[in-house]
Amino acid sequence: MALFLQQVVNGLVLGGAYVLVALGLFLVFTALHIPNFAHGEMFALGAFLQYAFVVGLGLNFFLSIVLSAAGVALVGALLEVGVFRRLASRTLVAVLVGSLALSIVIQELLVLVWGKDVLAVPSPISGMMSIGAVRVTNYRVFIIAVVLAVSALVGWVVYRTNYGKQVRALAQNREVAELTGISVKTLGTLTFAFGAGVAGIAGALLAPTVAVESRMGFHPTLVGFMILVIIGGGGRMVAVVLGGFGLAVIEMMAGSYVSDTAQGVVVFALLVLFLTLRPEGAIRQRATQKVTL
Amino acid sequence: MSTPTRDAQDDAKSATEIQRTDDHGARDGTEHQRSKRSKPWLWDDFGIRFRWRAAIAAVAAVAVIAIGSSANSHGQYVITSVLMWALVASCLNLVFGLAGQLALGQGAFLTLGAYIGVLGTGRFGWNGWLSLAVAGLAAGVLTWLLGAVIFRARGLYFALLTTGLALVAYEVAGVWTPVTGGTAGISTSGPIELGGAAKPLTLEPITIEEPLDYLALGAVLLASLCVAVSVIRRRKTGASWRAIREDEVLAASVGIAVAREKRIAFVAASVTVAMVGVIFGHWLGYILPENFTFAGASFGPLAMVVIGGSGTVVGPIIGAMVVAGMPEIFRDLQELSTFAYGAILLLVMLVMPAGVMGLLRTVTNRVTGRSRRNPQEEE
Repeated sequence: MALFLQQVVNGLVLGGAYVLVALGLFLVFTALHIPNFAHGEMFALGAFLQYAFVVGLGLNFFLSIVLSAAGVALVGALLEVGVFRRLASRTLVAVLVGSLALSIVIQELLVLVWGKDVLAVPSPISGMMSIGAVRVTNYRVFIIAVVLAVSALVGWVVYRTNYGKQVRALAQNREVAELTGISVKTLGTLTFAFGAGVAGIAGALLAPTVAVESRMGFHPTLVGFMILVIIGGGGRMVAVVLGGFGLAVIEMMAGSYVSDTAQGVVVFALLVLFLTLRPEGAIRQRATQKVTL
Repeated sequence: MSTPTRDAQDDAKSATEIQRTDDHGARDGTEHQRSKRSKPWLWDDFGIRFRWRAAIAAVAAVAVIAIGSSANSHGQYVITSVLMWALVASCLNLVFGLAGQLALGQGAFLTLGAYIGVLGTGRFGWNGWLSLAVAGLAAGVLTWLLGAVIFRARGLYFALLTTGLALVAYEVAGVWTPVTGGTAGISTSGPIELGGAAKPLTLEPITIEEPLDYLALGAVLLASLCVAVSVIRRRKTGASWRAIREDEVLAASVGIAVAREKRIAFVAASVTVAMVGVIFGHWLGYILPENFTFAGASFGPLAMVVIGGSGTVVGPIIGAMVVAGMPEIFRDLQELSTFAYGAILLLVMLVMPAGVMGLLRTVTNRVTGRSRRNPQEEE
């Protein structure tokens, strides 16, 4: 039982990364209909920037999180203007292959700048706490708290602000949204930057707990898409958060109860099984095709 | 690609037209009322005539073998590697280029074929024909069953589903140690502990052993596959696939059995790629899960097809030359070769989404100042 609870807690920490990566992916996919396979690289970039700020420049850890997120958001905005706007006007194939190519380019750039070695970022909070039989470092508790706070913030932005209203309008019907006077181009850039920034926060936040290397974004991206697929149409953002934590816990359980190697394969196996059995998502889609916020 | 609906109508129309001409057995006939081209001995209504296509393929194969036999061993390795990947990409071209299904799981069937081939020779002492048959049959049965459910997922979801397949195959190859040798790999001479030299691929009456043999086999197979693809493209099957690629609903409306045709394309691509896997495994002689990563074995061929020009016969070969030849071009700048690969691919998607062949066609059309009524892609 202790092991079980311990794995649940570990899963929640890992899930933090999944939730924040998936939130940005979900936002960009629903609003702009761009399946961005390079989204995980925003997560990786966040972690690398955090390394540069904390270890390289010796800045305060929490200030660095904000700076990293801002940096990643800027990169996201540039990518939207330079790459995705062009790709999105073409076919799904172009977006898919183009974004995978972009992820290769970003990974190689990360290697060119920071090298191939795994980087370590020191944790700013030390100490441990025990909750019953479960022992968890304070920093991990901090991660879970921040992830929940950022998720709530994203939810607030999307459902309570004027910007969020425009994004939801865009998600529901691009043409009509344009007719009502929404500047679709600006909104697209903003949304892309917003999604990238959230992934950047995840990268910066989790940098002390994961191995920081150029390929670290691939797995969270796939998990993010897995979550998109599971909630399918008609899903709300709460479902993304629950799905992210849920999948991470399942992954951890497979790792500890089946075998270490099963941890990697279980998500993909679930993805195949799920798409085979319920290609329309867990919640039967009400609208014909489009996923809406 | 500019006017998908018109293309779709054209493809759908040609699908029905081909059926009609097929019924009259006039497909290869000499008299065509509509044919106003000046050289009827070279072109018929469906592009270059079959005998010329076959001749071009044969000459190209002989030329490649001739170049290969005069090259040093490193040169032979590079040529063979390009040939092998061109084969894989051409198989993928069937389901992705022609039928328009974003199948990212080719690596899974390449892995399956390679392991069956290596195990067949190394552990069970099968001859090459048996390995090829078993690999093809296994992939065929698997994809036929999968085909019953897999196409319920479309577009992005289909791409994700097949990505999942490739990743599962890669993980299984690494985890199922008793059979696949795990991450340590396995060779054509059986389990690693026993050692021994790699065993040849015995395709009675010939035995494929030397590097040059694999090069020749690859060249001949690639030439045959290209001719086969060019024939499929001109027949009803190929035209139906292209109609499905452009617009599924429209294709269904002219009487194309969309579900069945997609399944056939998927099975054809997987069976051929599994058989290529048998040869690929033997050529390597020693296979590791690392030979079949998602980036290399599944996304790589897709990149080749896209760079060369999807749906064309020669496109995948051009793509394979670019992608598999890249490490050679950037030999002095090893660390830059992957970067260049990604950058070129991204550039292709941004600037010329129809690939090298699409660019060539645009240039030719502009130079000759003609736009063909029913565009049949170049040979």
